[in-house]
Amino acid sequence: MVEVDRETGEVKVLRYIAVDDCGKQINPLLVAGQIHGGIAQGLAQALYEEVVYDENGQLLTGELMDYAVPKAFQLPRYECDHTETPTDVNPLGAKGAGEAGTIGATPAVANAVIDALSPFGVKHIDLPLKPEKLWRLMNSPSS
Amino acid sequence: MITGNFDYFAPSNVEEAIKLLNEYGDDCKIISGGHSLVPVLKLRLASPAVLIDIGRIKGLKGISFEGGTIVIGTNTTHAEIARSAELKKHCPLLVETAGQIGDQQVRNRGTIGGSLTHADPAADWPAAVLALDADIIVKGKGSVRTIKATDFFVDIMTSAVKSNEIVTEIRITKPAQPQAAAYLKVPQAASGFAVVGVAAQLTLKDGRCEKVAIGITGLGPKAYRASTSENALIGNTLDAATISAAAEKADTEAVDTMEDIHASGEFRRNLTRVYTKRAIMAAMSRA
Repeated sequence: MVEVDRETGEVKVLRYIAVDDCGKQINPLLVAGQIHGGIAQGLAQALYEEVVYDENGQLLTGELMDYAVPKAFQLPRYECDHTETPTDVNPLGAKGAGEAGTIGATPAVANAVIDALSPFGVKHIDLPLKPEKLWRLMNSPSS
Repeated sequence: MITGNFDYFAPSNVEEAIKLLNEYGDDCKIISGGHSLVPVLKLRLASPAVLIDIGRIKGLKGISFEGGTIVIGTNTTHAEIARSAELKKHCPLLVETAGQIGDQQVRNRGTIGGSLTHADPAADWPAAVLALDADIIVKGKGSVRTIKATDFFVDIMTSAVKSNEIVTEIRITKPAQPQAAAYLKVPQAASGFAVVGVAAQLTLKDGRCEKVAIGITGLGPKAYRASTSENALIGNTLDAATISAAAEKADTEAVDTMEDIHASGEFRRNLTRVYTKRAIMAAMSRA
């Protein structure tokens, strides 16, 4: 669940709920760590991370002063839960959890923002959803 | 990412440091916390032949009070200011600003004097010292002068401090209503520098705005006082309409704007107006 600032286009993630299924969990703490890290990566792809080149092909985001890797304070609290559907293709019943958070987070956050902007007729926005882009959409003549 | 070669001096007093400055002229740079200069050295944006480390000079660090004046030594770190109980009581704007600079590691090493002299157009301190009408004390060979905050920032990365002078302290008159203040910023997502930062210090009397100072960083090549907005507030009752109308003029003084991959000039102007409104409202609600 997200909030978009009408005046500045800044996005605030109010709630992030992740329900995953990796079958039988051998080490739940490790699974939670994988999910948390994955969400950070996926959420940052939706909101922050961007590779920018200038017209001469010069990379403008070549260092961490300009390329926005997410920091803890930029991330919401995660509410995690799981279902358990064991696989029958291995004796442990366990499935991979390494990329579960990443895969879900990007479209979940992006779709939440697009939904928040639906009163402005917005149906699609290229990632990342940076404040200026959202501000322009909310203030474009067609909206 | 390796610096050029340089000679290193660590003088034990200000006079010795000034002597070295005069000796090496434009070939040298002063270093204290190093959080502005070291990145510049590593990117080879500057390759001074000599570094003069003023970090070991006693008496340039710390927060003290002389009657109604707050005195902050140039070598005082952002972290020391952020956790000062005395400043929280007498000048919370400094505490709020310091707490929003970079991250904890930066705040532990970076100093107020270093940040001011570096005059980065996206730094946080310029907004606060402008809103507090600070005096910046500068020592040279046999001279001491006071630079008003409004005269201190000259251009991008250029302050009014001459190459043979050292900032020794920052002096601020205790605000009449210390709590009626706010520093609000939009941090750049990668670096934490201010895309725009607005500091406001208010004095209210019988519900009217008796005095207000608004310092803005990030929008232009140098930080500035939003005088047009201030004039639209002084003497008036601060209702939502008055504040909004005044804040709409907060970018008037900025002729040129910064523009980069993080925000266009036009967007920065919008953020300046919005955050000026919010800073004044926040300051009012704390009064």
